[in-house]
Amino acid sequence: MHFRHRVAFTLIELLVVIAIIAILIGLLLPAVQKVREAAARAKCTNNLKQMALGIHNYESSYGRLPYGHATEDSGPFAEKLPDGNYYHRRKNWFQEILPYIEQNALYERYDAYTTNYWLHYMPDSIKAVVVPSQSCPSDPSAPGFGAGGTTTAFQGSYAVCAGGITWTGTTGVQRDITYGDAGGIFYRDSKTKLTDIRDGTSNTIMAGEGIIRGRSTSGTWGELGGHWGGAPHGSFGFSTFQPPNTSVADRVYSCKATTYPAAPNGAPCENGNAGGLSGRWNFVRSYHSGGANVAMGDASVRFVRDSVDLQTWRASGTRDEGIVTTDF
Amino acid sequence: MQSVRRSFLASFLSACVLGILAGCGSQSGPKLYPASGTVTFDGKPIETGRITFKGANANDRTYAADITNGEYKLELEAGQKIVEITASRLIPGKFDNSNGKPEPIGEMYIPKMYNENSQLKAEVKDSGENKFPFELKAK
Repeated sequence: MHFRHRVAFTLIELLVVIAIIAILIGLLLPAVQKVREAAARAKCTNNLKQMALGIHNYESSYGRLPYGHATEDSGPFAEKLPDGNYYHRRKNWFQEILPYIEQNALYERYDAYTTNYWLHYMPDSIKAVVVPSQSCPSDPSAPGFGAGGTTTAFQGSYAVCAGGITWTGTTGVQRDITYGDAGGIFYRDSKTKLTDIRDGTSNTIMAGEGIIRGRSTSGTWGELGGHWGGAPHGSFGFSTFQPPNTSVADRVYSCKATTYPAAPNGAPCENGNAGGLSGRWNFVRSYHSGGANVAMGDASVRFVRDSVDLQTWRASGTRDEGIVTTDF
Repeated sequence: MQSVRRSFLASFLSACVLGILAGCGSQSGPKLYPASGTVTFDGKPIETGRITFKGANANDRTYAADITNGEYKLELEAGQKIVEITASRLIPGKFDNSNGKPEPIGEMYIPKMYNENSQLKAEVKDSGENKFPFELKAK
């Protein structure tokens, strides 16, 4: 009879307790996920800030901003060996600012290497080095590799603003970012001074982020961030002709993937060379919900919504179009 | 006792559902309507290509989608659109050597009257179905 008086939980009580705990954990998990996302986003934003400050420190040393990318075998920045061969072919702002983003050791190895002329033929001890401050942790594919012909070269998450717009009055038209002055602060062989940004440094976009379309197969060139060989095919920069995360395709020499379903709007990309399509451009893209970060010419970082006013966004990408812009 | 437990459980569950729902919504941006259709070139479906819907004004948003096996699907703002269609194929035996190794070159074979100087139009309605079939011809 004494069994009846034992103090114990009934099965139903235990089940209820377990159910409540399960529900509480269920509530907590998404919150943890949100915090992780927020942390990744903060890191990503800070990286862009560091990059913008690095560009400003570079400007203090040289009296001009770094070039977007340099012509391979002529022009003011091409480097020639005594035997007449050009080396460091396809260099761009990324290599230039390395000493200003705490990557001096990598810069010195790169600077001293003259054996193979193209950046994409540099040894992996140089081109495969991951620069953490150029990699956005919100992107599941980061740190990226590829987009410059090989599969091993580091692919960054950030690029500089080339504009990529020709203005007639207040009407903008898309243009190639890899040749000539495409209207932005950075272009081929650009030597922009801060005083050349006549729309005002706080109104003009200097840099921004993009997404990495997974792992590379070899022989793809020009997607944003492919700094070891992809620069003349579009890697160095982006255009502001379309808003962040647009469903309009990036158009580069050849894409790692023509669509990347995990990314917002599928991050479409067109193969310019194999598709016979003229013009090269990347657009600003990111995994942050509803928009992307850009750094302005004064090194302030702003979050721009996908739904940004198109005229404001376009005008902010070019340095001297004279259109009065509202804030993002 | 049991009814008290039930009501506790019920309130917990409803709180969870509310929490999940709170995460949704608050989408900004213009209202979009689903659109779809088929694209043929000289009677045959375009296997892979791109279709782009531009607004009538320069600062209207542009929306684009892949054409796969002659079909496309996307979401558009309401109003009059100018439609551009492109598709490409490789040119046998033609290569680009600017990278230090040969890469096959292609051509965009859709006439300019369907892309660069497009005459194709579509009116996106805010109710009902938006189906836009396009039958393109080489000449």
